[in-house]
Amino acid sequence: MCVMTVPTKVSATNYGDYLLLDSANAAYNRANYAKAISFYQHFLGGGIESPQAYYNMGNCYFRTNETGKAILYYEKAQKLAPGDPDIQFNLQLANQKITDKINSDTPIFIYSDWKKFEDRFTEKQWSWICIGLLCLGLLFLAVYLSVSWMILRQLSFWMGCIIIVLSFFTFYIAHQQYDTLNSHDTAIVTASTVTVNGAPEEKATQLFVVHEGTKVWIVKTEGEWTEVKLSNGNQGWLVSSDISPI
Amino acid sequence: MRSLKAIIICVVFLFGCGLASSLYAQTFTARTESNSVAVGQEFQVDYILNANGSNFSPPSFNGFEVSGPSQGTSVNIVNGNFSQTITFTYYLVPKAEGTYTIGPASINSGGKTVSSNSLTIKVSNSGQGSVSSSTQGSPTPGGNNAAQSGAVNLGKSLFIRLVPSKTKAYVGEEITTTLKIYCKVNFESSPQIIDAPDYAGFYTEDIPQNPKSQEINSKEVIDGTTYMVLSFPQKIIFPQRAGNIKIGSFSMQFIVDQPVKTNNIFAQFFGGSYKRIPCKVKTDPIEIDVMPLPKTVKSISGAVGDFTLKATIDKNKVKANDAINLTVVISGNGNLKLIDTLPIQFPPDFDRYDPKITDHFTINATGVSGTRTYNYLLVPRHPGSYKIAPVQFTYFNPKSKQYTTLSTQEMDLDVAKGDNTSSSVTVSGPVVNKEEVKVIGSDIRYIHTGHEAYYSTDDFFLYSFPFFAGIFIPIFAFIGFVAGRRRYIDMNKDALAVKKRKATSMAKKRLKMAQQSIAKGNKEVFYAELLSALNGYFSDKFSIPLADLSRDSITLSLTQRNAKLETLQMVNKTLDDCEFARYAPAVITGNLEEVYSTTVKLITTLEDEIA
Repeated sequence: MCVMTVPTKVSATNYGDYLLLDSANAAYNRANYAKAISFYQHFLGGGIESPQAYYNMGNCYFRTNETGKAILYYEKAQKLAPGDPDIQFNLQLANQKITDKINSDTPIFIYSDWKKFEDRFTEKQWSWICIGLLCLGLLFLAVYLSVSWMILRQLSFWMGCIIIVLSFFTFYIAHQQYDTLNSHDTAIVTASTVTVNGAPEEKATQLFVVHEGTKVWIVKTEGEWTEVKLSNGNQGWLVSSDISPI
Repeated sequence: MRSLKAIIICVVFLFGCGLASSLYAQTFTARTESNSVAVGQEFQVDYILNANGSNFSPPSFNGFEVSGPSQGTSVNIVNGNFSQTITFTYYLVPKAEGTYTIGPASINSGGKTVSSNSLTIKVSNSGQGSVSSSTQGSPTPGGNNAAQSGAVNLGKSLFIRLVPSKTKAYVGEEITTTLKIYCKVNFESSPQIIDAPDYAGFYTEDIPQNPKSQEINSKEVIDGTTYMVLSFPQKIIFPQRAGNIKIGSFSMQFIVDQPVKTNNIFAQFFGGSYKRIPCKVKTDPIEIDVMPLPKTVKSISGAVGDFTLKATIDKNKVKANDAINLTVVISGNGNLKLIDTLPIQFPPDFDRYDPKITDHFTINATGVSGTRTYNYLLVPRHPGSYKIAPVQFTYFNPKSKQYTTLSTQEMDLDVAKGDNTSSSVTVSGPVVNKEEVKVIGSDIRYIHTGHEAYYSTDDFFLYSFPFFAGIFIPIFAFIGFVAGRRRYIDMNKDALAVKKRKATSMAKKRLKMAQQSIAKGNKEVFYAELLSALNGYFSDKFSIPLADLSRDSITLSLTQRNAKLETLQMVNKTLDDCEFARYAPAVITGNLEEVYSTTVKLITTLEDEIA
């Protein structure tokens, strides 16, 4: 007999955990940001990911002027809840406060619109949409097979085919979102000033300097050093502890 | 001082000095202010006789540098009681460390020779003799206090100190500096200030020199020596940055009266003669330890001290475009002059102007106190009822070491419509001045407070078992549906074929039953059986349900299947006969057997013609 292990959703009715969240929010309202952060961290403790807690922590760090960490947590929240307008707004505001203004290769408008479209829903939501569309498409095909009225038959046949193609399409998007969630290849610079070297050594040629809050892409890691790439294409090595992966 | 002594001595001589000299028991004591001194440190030894005396013979001050004696006499007449004391004062400076005994001195008084007690002096090397200094902070008067010009070593007879009211303060906290002149010698008034320190790192405020309170005379004991002290409050200083900030030296020039040894009896008699020597003295530089203000998230005004806040508005009801005055008064003591403009939240569409600042300060030795008044002129442009948010003012109180936030009451303001309508009479239509929504500030959005769903880190729906179930269950269901439907169709098809195949035999079976009724001679039943056999045959053959079977549908089906015309006519005739016989059985005549055989023949013909 085969026992299948199903990744279970953490019980959302665990009241104690929400009490922790509530007290963290209360601490935030009293402007006791350090306490709020520690509560949120407790709440997130045992392998939990909550866009809400990440977002609120981002706000705490923003209020204590730790822009780098604020951006890190907003990014984490956005990764989990990509469509949330509040997260987008605060992340944008935090990004205005950072030192580095790196000219990225401006993405083609279709790409950015596509990304926006993908981010409307999470991996879970896209998966459900995929299942839903599949069911609907099959239902149309079943209608096609069972009725004899010609117009309805033709209509339901084409509808069924289109909807099933759409279902494959949403499966692809869900897979993309799944990939994004699983990848940890972006990071935020959390140290205030970091010199990026040409090689993973202290004495290597210094290439450029990045500041707190800048987003970098992780290329590879070697010992205590990480090779990163900026959005403008610059690449170099920095000490891993100066950045935090999203 | 010395002139006073001379006068007293004069008086004593004028009234006859030996008048009541032997009325009291004479005591002759040696006294020093400190029994332990450091090498090189000057100290004072007094020999006091509470009677008149002569022929004072001092002891030998071995191991000391001696200056003196200076002689003082005082006469008291209290309620007719006459008392007199003579004091001989020596200034001694020990040359080496050790314990020294100064022997008794003797004096002739009332015909007797009186001896004083002897003194034991402990001389240490460290320079840390018993210091009964009443001042704080500043170092012991060192060599740099010594006279720089002139050959006279004034030692510790005259030195100056710059004394701050505190040596540890917060940034912005007020400190009073006082110049103190310590002296044991006479100097001429109005010494000259040669060099004053620049208070770099401080914001300074001069204390106005009030001639009445200018000098504060007091006495202080430093290292066992009593000094006359003149204090001059100098400045109120406010440190502007954290860290150790040095204040440089203050140097002054004095004209000092120096006693000159003389043989002139008369001069000696009037307290000796004096030389006037210019002498320059300098304070030690002092250091103030300035602590930074604690960090806070509140917006701070930079104010340090103790304040009160008051805000008033001159009227509560105005017409649009009329000016209002908002007056904010900060009073108290501290660095009032350094307070930034208060951030006041005015209703956004008010016109406002920079505040007029009026200061009323009093500066004295205790610090700066007074009021600072901000006068804001506001012009509401639109009617409505507004609220002026409470004015908030945060300052640091160095006494409690905490920030204090003062807040005023919220102020209500009713703005009625202005009467500037005359200017817009020419406008015929309703014209409304539209304004863009003003963005007053930008801030992050508020935290999410509800209970939103959260997940475990490795919880993904895609590729999970429920996901695959969700995908494959509908697919299997569809396949099942398609398969089921095909089978159903096939089965139905088979049933009809069977019926078709068996149509002839079924018809023959029914005809047999009709034949049986011929034998019984039951004409009605015969025709009924015959009709049902034919109908059943057509129903099965053409897959038309019996209910839908009619003469037309039979004819149509037969024509479709290319039956011959005569066969069609025969079918019709037989059916007509059957129906006629059923409704009027008596009319029907003829051989039943013949009808039967014709029908059987007809069915056989049909079998051949329609496949």
